[in-house]
Amino acid sequence: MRIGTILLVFALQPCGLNVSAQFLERPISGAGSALGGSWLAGTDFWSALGNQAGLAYREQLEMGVHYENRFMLSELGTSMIGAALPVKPGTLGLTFSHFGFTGYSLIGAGLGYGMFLAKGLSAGVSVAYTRMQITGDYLNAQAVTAEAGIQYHPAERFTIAVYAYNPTGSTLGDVGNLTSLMGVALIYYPSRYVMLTIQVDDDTQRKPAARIGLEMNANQKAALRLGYSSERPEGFTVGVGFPLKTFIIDFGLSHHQRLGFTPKLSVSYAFSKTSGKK
Amino acid sequence: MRPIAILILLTLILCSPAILSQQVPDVQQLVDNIVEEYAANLDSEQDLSELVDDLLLLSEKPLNLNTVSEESLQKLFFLSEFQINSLLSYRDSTGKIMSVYELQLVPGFDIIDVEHLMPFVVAGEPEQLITPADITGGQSEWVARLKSQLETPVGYSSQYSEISRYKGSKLAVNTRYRYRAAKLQVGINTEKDAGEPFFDGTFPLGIDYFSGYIMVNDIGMIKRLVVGDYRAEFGQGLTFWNSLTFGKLSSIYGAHRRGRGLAPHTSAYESLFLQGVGATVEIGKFDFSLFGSYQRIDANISDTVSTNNTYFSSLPETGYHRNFSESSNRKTLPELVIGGNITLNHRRLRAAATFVFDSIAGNYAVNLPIYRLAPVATRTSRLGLAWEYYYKCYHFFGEIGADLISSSSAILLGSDLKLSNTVQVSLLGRSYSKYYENRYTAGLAEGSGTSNEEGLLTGLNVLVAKGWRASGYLDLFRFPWMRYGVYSPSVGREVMFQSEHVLGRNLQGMVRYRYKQAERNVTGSNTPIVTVINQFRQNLRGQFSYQVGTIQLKTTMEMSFYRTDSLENYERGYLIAQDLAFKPEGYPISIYLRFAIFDTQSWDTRVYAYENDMLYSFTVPAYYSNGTRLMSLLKIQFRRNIDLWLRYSLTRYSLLDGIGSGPEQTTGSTSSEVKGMIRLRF
Repeated sequence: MRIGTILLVFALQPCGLNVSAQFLERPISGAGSALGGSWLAGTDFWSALGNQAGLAYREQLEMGVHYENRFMLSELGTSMIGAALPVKPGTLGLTFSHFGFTGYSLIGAGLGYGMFLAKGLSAGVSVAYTRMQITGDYLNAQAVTAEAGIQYHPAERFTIAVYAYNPTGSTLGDVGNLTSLMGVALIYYPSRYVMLTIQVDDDTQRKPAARIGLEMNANQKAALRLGYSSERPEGFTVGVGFPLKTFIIDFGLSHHQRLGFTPKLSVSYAFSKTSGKK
Repeated sequence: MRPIAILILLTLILCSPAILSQQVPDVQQLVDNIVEEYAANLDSEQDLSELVDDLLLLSEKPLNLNTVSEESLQKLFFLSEFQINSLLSYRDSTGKIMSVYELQLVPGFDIIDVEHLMPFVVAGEPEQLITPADITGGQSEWVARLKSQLETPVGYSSQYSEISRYKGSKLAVNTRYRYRAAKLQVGINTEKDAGEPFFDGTFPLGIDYFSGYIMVNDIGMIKRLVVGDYRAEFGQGLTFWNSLTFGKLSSIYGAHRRGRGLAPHTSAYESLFLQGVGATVEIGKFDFSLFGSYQRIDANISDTVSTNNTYFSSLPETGYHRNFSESSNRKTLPELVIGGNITLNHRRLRAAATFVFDSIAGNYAVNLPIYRLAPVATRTSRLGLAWEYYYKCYHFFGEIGADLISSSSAILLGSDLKLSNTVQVSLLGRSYSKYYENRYTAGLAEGSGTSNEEGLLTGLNVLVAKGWRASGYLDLFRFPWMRYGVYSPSVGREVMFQSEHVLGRNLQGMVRYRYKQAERNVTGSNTPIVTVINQFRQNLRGQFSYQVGTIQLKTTMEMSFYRTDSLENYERGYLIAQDLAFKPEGYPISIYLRFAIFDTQSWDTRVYAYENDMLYSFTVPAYYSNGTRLMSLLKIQFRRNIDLWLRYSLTRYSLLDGIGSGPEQTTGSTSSEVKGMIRLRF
């Protein structure tokens, strides 16, 4: 079974089904996934851990856990824990993630920092360590990568974000080049109850993707999310999110016609009663 | 009228916090921004250093608004014809201009135009008599630039074939010296391209390219006298024009082309300049120009050389002399160019006659049918008539050129019509006969030169609302005879639409769409008769520019699509690029960064995107294949007189193991370059 899963992992790569995710060591949260994977311009806890420019908006100590299961296969599960630590000026972000199983795994750790450079303009950077491990003597490889992002709010209802992953082209040992990625995203709030997101991203190992997302919230008490990604396997996505005291719970679901459902669940906790998404 | 104007002026000044709070503008940054607006529209790399030179010179010797002529104002290429005329009319009607800020009262000028103009104009007293300082009180500038690719192409290997092996190092060296005074300019340029030998005896002066000029201007009747290497631009480029021109994209700002007359050759472009003497004398309403040039030019001498006759197969213009093959083409054929121009400036009419004789002492010898049909002329004798006339807000212009030896002609008729304060329409028709000469002509064209083309260009520029400008053009063209890569008469059309928005105080957005249909030979055909097929190219670009404090950001996204009759589906290309410019307050440094990711299916879907570079350098890389590009540029200013630039760029390709071809080929999947430049002013 495990050999079979390893084969599945590698067999899916050339099909564009990059099961290790385009952000190798950092999966997309339940909220971002439900928006078709368009999360770059978000300033919520999980988006901020992804595009570190968003960390500038995290003003309280927060922690979270995330779990996803690609196509309901336990061998393709990813778990992650993360934390945001305000340090003034700016905020630090910490992530630890694990993908795979005993036979094949990817372990990642990242340290990010984001701050405001000027009013409405924030920027962030991150350094991440990734280790690929295949049981036995097959392969052990590691890489250190950099990330950087910018978010700009020219007006209250409008956000532009840019993000680059691995711009320096780090390689994963003998395995080859790690993917480099760049994305641009816009968020627009037509009203306080509706959010539209558009994202275009491209990496060096797959076709460019266009993603759109729609979030409707009921007075900050619950949010319904819909999304679409031109890049498979995501396709159409759906999800919900709601706060529970100082917890925030986000769930996202995508479906592939042949491979089935991929659920994603993210939970974050703020050490303050005034927590909530910006 | 006058007191009211002064009152309004005072009000404008007092109510313009932007102006009052304005610091001394960074001229270089402003020049960069102005030139970038034009360069960003280019689809290939061109040497725009002469434009930068002109603007920097003007910033050191600003034009006096109260005495400046129309011709001098035209050096400010970012001003439209209507703005220039409007300014001159305003001065004629109101008398002396009191302050640069007063320009806000001139119809057609807004605060942005005034901010652009400020470093280049002053509202001074009428000019005094010539003083010795006009000759000796100038400023000198010396610039040295080094550039090298980090990967080593195979052409440098000792294993490479001797005839194509590069003789020199891969370091490129360029130096330029300028002395500029109000009435005198002196300059010397040298350049060693990568791969060219350096002081090893190959070149008489040790270095491949050595160029210089001396120019005096505005002394008595002598409007301009230039000795050495120079250029000449007359009319609309149909009879003589050997300088840079902007392509069709710039026609959205107006289709009219402004000739500078005689001008020094200040760039390192090694071909198509004149060498000798040129002079312009002003007598009444007439300007008389005479110019002559004699030099040996590059030519590819073919094997067949009969008695007293040299045959050549091409006239290379790259300026590269890196290996035996290229060096053997260097300065092989003498060329004589003699020309003259008479221009009448009478109120709103300008009419000019130009004559040029060009003789290359060789015979063109290529047996391919395509070239037999369009040979390189070794003797041309052109006569041209050009005119332009302003009637209210309408500007009409045109030129007719005739080659007396080949009995061919070229005609261009155009007009820029300002229909209202917010709508401008440009029309330009052209008809160049198939044998008309390309060398030293530069009429607006879709093809590669001023020949074998007919076309009608319609441009539109509309200020739709405050902060929203829409512009575009439609060009319908046909090539009456076969040309390079298209072995039959062919037709095509091009549409461009651009919408620019001011989205917020510091945020601008732009969307541009281009569609071009043309014809070309089918590739890989083995049949004796080559089939010609349609090709369709589309580009869609979106761009955001925003400035927050001392940080400037620009985000660019572009998609390109390409299809031919033989391709079932469109090939696609994508580019995402982010630029960041940062100038920390209180520190004499500027930092420019770019990261871009690109993914194109073919060379035909490549995407061009302008990239920041150091002074006098212009980079418009073609993003092709799949990969990323990183660029970093640092500028440091030491005191007021020394500037230093350092630049590093790296392109990584995901799918390529070798880059380039021939001697330029490198192994590996990266292409990187380091560049440094120092400028001393004294």
